[in-house]
Amino acid sequence: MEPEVMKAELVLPTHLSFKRVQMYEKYPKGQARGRHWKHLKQILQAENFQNYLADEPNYVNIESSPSMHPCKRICDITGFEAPYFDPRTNLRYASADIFKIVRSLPNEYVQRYLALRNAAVVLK
Amino acid sequence: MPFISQFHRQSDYNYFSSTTPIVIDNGASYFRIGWAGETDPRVIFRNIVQRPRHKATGETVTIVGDHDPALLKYFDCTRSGPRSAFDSNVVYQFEIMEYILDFGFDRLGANGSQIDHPILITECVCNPVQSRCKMAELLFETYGVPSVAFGVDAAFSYKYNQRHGICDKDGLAICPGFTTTHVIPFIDGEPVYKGCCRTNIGGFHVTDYLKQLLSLKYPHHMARFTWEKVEDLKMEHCYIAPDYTSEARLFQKGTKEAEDKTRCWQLPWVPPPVEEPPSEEEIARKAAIKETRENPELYLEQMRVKYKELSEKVEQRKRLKANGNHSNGNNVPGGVGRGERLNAAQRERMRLLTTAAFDRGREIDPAFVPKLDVGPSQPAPEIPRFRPLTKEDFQILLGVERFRCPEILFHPNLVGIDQAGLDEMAGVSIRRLSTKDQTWRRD
Repeated sequence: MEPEVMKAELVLPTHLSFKRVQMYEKYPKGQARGRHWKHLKQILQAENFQNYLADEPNYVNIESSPSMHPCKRICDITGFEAPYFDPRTNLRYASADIFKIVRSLPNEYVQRYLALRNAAVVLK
Repeated sequence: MPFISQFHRQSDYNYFSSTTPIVIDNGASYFRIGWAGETDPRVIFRNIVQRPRHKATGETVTIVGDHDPALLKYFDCTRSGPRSAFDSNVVYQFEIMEYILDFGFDRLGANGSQIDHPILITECVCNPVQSRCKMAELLFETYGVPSVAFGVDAAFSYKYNQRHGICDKDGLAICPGFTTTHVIPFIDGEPVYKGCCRTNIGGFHVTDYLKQLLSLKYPHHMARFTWEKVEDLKMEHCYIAPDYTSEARLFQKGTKEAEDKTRCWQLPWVPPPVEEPPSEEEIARKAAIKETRENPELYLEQMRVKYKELSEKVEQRKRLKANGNHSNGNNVPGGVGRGERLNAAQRERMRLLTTAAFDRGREIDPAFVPKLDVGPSQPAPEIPRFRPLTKEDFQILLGVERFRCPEILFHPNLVGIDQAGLDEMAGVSIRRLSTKDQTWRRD
């Protein structure tokens, strides 16, 4: 190991005195490292929140509802107010010069602008 | 950000008695650890783990937190991106959590055969039982901790402020996090989780939005916009506009105020080398051009002669072809039809027209016609030469983006997340409180 790396103590040591079980004992080499940790969706499914009272707060029911306010319409490219909408590309634009830019964008950029708004076409 | 992380090894671990709790703020962005009773945490670092390969020895090592990129050049970080133990705001990867706790305790100065202090650790609001249980298992079994307490960081903060008189016993705590934002009502000093509200938008989304906007606006400099750099930009330059529409209008009109508010980031740029003095052939060529300019008639005569010769040749070839030379094969590279119908002068004009569109900076002498090829082959297309890059091309301007990105906290619809923003959440949260808290609502 290079001296400056040693000095900075960048790397986590493999044996730590205050641990009862070391990492290499718990997760031995050779075993599949990509252990199956349950993702949040699976954890929430396994929790079975519907069996509990609907009154009790749990991770799922404290989530906020969709917004009641009308959607703010801003131009996808510049961020100004955008009263106009291009039906061909589905982008919002604020003025005629921006419209020129919108129409001249290659498809890849159009999709990326739409993806910012989560409005891109996703082929599954 | 590098300048808020601190991870020097603390040396006074042994001075604290076994009853002093260790406090851990296990956040999705930063991990903080310190002693109870102190005002600041001792060790702060980014809550990520990387497992790169050391280039020289080839062994896989673990690096916790964000470090000086200069030191990381000894490691092959291409295969291993930084990994977090969190999925949204819930811990789910306990192997990574263990690495992080290892590092945290190690830097706090822990020695001895186990961690002999009670631990207070934070978790998210309404943490799923499974996650909490695995965390407790990790702390008890691997570290030998005597006791563990879990709490919500916002509630601790509220209680602290209440004790200092900043907050009343009834109030509302708004906590934007890394990937989620919570609004928690407090009644009589106690958090009422039934009225709590969570939206899945946070600092991570703001940084991501800014990164994508900048990448789309400046595609040539896309490599410069790393997540860490964009986060630094966000911290320094972004602000929340009190009224988004009027602020956007200022920029749309291009007022002086808007100019003042626009920040400019100059990327390192090397100006191109100064033009060398023209070489021999350049001088000769320029002399030839000058000559033709002076005697235009002579030049025109020469051109006319050449034109006649060529057009005769073309006619001849046409006649040959028409006389049944069909099986000669296609000796016209680049297409049969159009290349033959155009005669030499027309073809030359076409070529000049097409290359003129690219040669914006280079001076073209319209009377200068290069040596005409004999034969129907198209002359090779010229490499389009763009105008030289200037200092302005290497400037990143942050104007509207400065307040457009934090706006998504209030309008998650701007990034397609169909949930209430911060302002609406306060209302939602209060409305969720049960009817017996109506009196509080009216106050």
